[in-house]
Amino acid sequence: MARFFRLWGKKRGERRSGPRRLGEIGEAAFFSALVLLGFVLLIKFLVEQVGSEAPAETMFGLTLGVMALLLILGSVGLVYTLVQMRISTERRSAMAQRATQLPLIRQTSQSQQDHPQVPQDSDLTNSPGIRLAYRLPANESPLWQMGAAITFFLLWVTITLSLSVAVLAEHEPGKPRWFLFVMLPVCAAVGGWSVFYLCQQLRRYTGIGPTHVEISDHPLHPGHQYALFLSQAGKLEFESFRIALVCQESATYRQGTDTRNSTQCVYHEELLFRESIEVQTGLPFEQECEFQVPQDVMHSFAGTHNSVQWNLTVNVQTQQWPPFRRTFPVVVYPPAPVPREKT
Amino acid sequence: MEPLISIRLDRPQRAYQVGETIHCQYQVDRVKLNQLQAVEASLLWYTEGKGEEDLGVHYFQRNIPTADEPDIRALKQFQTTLPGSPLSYEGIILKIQWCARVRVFLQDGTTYTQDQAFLLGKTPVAQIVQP
Repeated sequence: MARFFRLWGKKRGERRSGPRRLGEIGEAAFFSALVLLGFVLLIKFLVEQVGSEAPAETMFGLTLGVMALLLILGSVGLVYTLVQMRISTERRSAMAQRATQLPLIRQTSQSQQDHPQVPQDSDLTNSPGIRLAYRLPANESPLWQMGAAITFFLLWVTITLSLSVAVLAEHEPGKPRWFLFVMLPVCAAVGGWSVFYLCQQLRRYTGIGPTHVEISDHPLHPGHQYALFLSQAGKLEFESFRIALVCQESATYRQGTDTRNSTQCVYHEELLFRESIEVQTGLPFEQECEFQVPQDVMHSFAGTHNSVQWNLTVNVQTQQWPPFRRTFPVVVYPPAPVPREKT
Repeated sequence: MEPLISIRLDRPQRAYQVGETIHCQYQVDRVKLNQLQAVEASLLWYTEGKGEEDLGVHYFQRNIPTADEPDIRALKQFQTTLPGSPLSYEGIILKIQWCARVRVFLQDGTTYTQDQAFLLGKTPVAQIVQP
């Protein structure tokens, strides 16, 4: 009996342990109740308005709007639930896919049609290189971190200054406001830390110069050879400098109301390793190397919640700065089909 | 009693390469004709593992009883050219699985599903790597 009348079920993202049909019926009943409520209240309200000889209420428009909203929300929800109940996941997916391939709203390019779920590389090949064909964009820009530090610093200084002015303005001898007096040093301490963090970021940004990575061809194909050119600006003394070709799986899942992401490295090949290098002032550190994408590897894959990502990573350890890592995404295509031998 | 759904692929090893044609036959038994509402056959990939499920349909066919073809339980078949990606993959936190799926809809609202898995490509099983 408890199997059929469970009060609650476990939720694992979109998967639920309770019976699906029961959930759908519950959802439909909820939206039906909403429609009914909206309809009854709307009719009652309109009848009252027509029947009374007094002028219309001042909130007439708002009341009417709220009731109409109930009716609309309930109707849309009910129709959506019924459609979901009658249509299988495969049919929905097929319909959505067909819609993207209609000539008027075609969203997919030829390469996407040939290789579905392989990410497009147009963002990676729109910048030509100086030595090689393409200059790859970095995954994360230090400007975002700088921007966040500046925004936080400005916000916190404004809050601290406002609080200080309020404390001084409302100060009465013999009646100290203890709460404000306690808050002020705390705000000042956080403000001091934000100044320190901002200075650290500024020093780091100006000290560690940009990293440029260029590649001879893109997208990458298994078994093919590629040339790589790397340039690191800034006045640095490297303890170690590594470039690697990395593949990692990434999965997004929900735990309750939180969305979490998990990654797992499944391929790592060091392409270049240098240690104890001093970069001359005004001259960037430049290196060239060649590498081959292995023959039997998984291609780049981009789903809604899961992905397989290929990156070129630059890991640097210096004497002046904490170690830093820069990531340059690349796209690896599936291997070309091998013609079958005729028997 | 549940309906009996049979799916047969043209290769017993159930391994295919990109661009090859896959032939699939399917049949529904152990159900009365008046109980059946529709039968759907699809060729699709889906993900398994730590993340939420992703799914993509490559081929889809829906059969409902018509005047020309009242018995949708009978043996049916379809063939389609397999796409260039995604390839079957057995990773650590992510798996990509291809299958032929037949879904049977009964008049009382219940559905029954049967999958026949197959491999697309020959990507080796992934290993955990410590960078």
